[in-house]
Amino acid sequence: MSNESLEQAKLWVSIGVPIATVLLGGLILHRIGKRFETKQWFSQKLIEQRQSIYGNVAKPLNQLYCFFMRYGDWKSLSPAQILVFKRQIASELHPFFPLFTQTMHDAFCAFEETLFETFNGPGQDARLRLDPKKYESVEGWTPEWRRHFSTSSRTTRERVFTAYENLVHAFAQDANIDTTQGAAWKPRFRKLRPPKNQSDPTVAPAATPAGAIPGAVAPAGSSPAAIAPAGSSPGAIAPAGSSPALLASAAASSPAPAASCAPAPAATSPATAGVASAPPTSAPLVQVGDVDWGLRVRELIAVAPLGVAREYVEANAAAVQSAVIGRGPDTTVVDPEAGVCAVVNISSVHVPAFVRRSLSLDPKPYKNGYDLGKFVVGTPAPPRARKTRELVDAALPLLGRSARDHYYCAVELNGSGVRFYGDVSLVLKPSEVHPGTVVLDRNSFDLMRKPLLDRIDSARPNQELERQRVAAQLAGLWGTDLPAMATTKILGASPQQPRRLTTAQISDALLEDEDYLEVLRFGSFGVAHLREARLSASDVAVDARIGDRARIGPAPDFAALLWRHRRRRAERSLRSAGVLVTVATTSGRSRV
Amino acid sequence: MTNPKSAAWYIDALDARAGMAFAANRFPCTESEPIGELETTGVFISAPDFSPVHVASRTLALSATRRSFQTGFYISDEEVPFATIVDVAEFVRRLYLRGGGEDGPDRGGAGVPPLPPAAPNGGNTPPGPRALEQASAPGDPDGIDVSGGSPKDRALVRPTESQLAAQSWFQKVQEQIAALAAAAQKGADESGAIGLATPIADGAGAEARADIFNQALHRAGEALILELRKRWPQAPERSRWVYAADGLIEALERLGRFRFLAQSLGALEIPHDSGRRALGTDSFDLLELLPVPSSTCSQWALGEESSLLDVLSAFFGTPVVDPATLDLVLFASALIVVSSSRKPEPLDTVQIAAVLEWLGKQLPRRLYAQSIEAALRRPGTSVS
Repeated sequence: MSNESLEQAKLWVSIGVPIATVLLGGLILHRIGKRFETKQWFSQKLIEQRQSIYGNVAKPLNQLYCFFMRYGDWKSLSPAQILVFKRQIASELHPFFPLFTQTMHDAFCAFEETLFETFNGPGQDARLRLDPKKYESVEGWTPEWRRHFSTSSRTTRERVFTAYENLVHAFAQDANIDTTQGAAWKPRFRKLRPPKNQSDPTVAPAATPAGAIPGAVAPAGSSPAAIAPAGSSPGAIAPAGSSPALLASAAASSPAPAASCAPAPAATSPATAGVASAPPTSAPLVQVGDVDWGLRVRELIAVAPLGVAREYVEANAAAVQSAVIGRGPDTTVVDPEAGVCAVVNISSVHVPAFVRRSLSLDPKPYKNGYDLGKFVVGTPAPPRARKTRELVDAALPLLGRSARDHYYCAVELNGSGVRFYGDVSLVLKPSEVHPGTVVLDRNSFDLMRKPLLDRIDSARPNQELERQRVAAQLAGLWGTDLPAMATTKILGASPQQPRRLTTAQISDALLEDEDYLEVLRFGSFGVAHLREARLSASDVAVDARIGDRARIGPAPDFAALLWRHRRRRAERSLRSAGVLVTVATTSGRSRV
Repeated sequence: MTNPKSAAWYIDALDARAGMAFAANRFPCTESEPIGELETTGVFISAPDFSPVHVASRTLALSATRRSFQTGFYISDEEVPFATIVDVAEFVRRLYLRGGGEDGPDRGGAGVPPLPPAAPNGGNTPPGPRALEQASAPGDPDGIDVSGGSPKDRALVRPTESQLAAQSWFQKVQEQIAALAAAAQKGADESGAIGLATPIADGAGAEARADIFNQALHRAGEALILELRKRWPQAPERSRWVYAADGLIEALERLGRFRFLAQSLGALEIPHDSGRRALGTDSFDLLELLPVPSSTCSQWALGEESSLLDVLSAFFGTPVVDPATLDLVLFASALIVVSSSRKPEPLDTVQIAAVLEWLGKQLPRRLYAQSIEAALRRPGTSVS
């Protein structure tokens, strides 16, 4: 090699080495960046999923806490409802424990163990580690409820408090929420500790504001539930940005829950919930709260063709759930007043008496069929005529309470309820529907009609048990399942179009003609429990036409005039009691 | 009544006072088939038009029984069949009207002035305004001031030959309504259509007929004044009484009877500053202010605080045979049919024809078996 060639080589090397170094360095940095980005994306998704899952269990967790601590509305809960919440939380969490840390898993198991005595024998429910004497003031208490309480071990409020606090902290850490910064609930949470000199643990500390109780009774901003993202309302599917497949795959790949974590008895495991044709056994295989309504929504989305069609279904599902919880299309703020409500339709002729009873503090201002049984035209119906209703009542998941104490409402968004039951739609305040209220995804009497009836009859001679199973599969809870239940009803019933649903379409589809979601409300209600009363636009139009004809002739029929007169009386009566009366116009909007 | 073992129209759920019912064409319920075939469609009937509309599912009816609806319609443990859906709709309409008589003050009605308590010595003489004590009792022609009226008006209290003929016509009107009421009370073996024939025609003697009709309104007005006098109020009820008196004056003015009954009304000593103008034009608002004699109310077992509106509603559901009640019914019907803005003159033949035609349309259109008619008449149908 000549000197010239050598010099050239040196020149190339001196040029190439820095270039190669730069290129190599860039490549390495790019790969590192990509990996970091991927990891960050995965972390973000993981946190979103955790937040979503927490959003599903926050309220029932808080109900357990309130019941065991005897805080908030604990007196309106029954032991059977508490067990429903327990099962619901378990079915929500167990499939997704791989997404959480061991700390959270352990905290949950400790919480469950603190509250419940489990493994009581095949088919036996868990028992509450509580003193039943302290719960005899619960609404609808019967001695029969004692069987839900453990006779061998009791917990203390302090233990419950600590277990709950640990669990919420673990959730918060997994969801990447810094509880020392910004979140206002932690300091208040600590204030809840009862004073050491307080001998009666049933007395809440006087200095503790009711609103400071974490969860359901706390203001939205101060509740641990607030850590749930906007897109993860209770019972909600994954936010639009996250793939439902991630949840599904996580569920499929999740191992069985750890043995130490007291899994729900096999008879009530989520896995059996979907087994429609399982043979009846000595105990109901499915109970209310076992049904994973979120999964049903995901299944609904999964059957849509990949691509634009599925994207529209996903977007519409999210829109339905936003509408149900009261979140507008362009905001993350949830306003329960704008969400769904429970309505009862009543004829205007009965309204003045309802108002009068409310104002005179009658314990049952609104009467159900049982309350009114003695008033009949003709002679009372023979027992055989009531048999069907009794069969259905016996099958309903009433959580240990009597059918006589239940009042049937419909889920409504902006409309005027089920017109067939009356021309005045009484709208209950959102706060007057307990989160543990059972909701059926249809009229409960569908149990006596094909195809459900055929399925129940095929279980002969165990039809009653099968009817209970079927009823439970139609059921969910107001506080947690409603958004998903509404989504399955609306999206399941309509042909999927590549178009976004409007609020009016959602409202119309939620309660459409004869088809509605049935709310099994425990206890009567009066005017103080009403947010408003709604009249349908079509009735108001007929009313006005009758009025016009009465004024300018020809005179309408007496029955029409009487109908109008009674409606005016009803409205006057409601307004005198301070109830707002509005008109639900078409397309799900209302006017005062 | 149709054969109870064959398919017919049966009521699944009924809210009598609300005028709402679910019905289906099916076989009656039996021990083995407690609700019949649920797969059949049903119909829904409701006020104000009572036109049957189809519903896809009878489960809607079953669910209604959890609310204000009663389960089915039974008489002596047997489900009552109806031959046609029209029969069912008319049954629901009549129940609705009959139930209207039971609205009363507790159910949102305005409430008429109550009867004062009986005198301590067992007598029932109510204290009243002095002028009224001195005035002739209503019903005495000499006590009615007709001096300012037309010859036609004066004829109201001094009948002529032509008016005697007109009285005969009016009697026929009364008899027709009475016959219809009697048929309804008696019932029939089979359901069937009934109705009132056109009871007034133009032509000779029409004016005299109008006089006779106005005389019936006059009698009703007198009865209402007398009833109001009986209810001369104790101090706490004064404003309610005055309000009712204002309502009565407004009603009499609209029907052109005010000036003929002015003396009787004047004797009631109604304050001049009463809020008559605030009553508005709605005839139902007026009717529910007016108390009626308890003898009339008792025909439907209505309470003594029932109003003329309650009586009219009950009459249309289950009419009764009673001339005094018929006068009140004509009075109330005229108040509903004639325009509130008309001149305060006695009704003319055209207006009377309109009143009678309207009245005929409100009366029962179908006749039912005795047991069903009895169920319609029986009080206690309320569910609120």
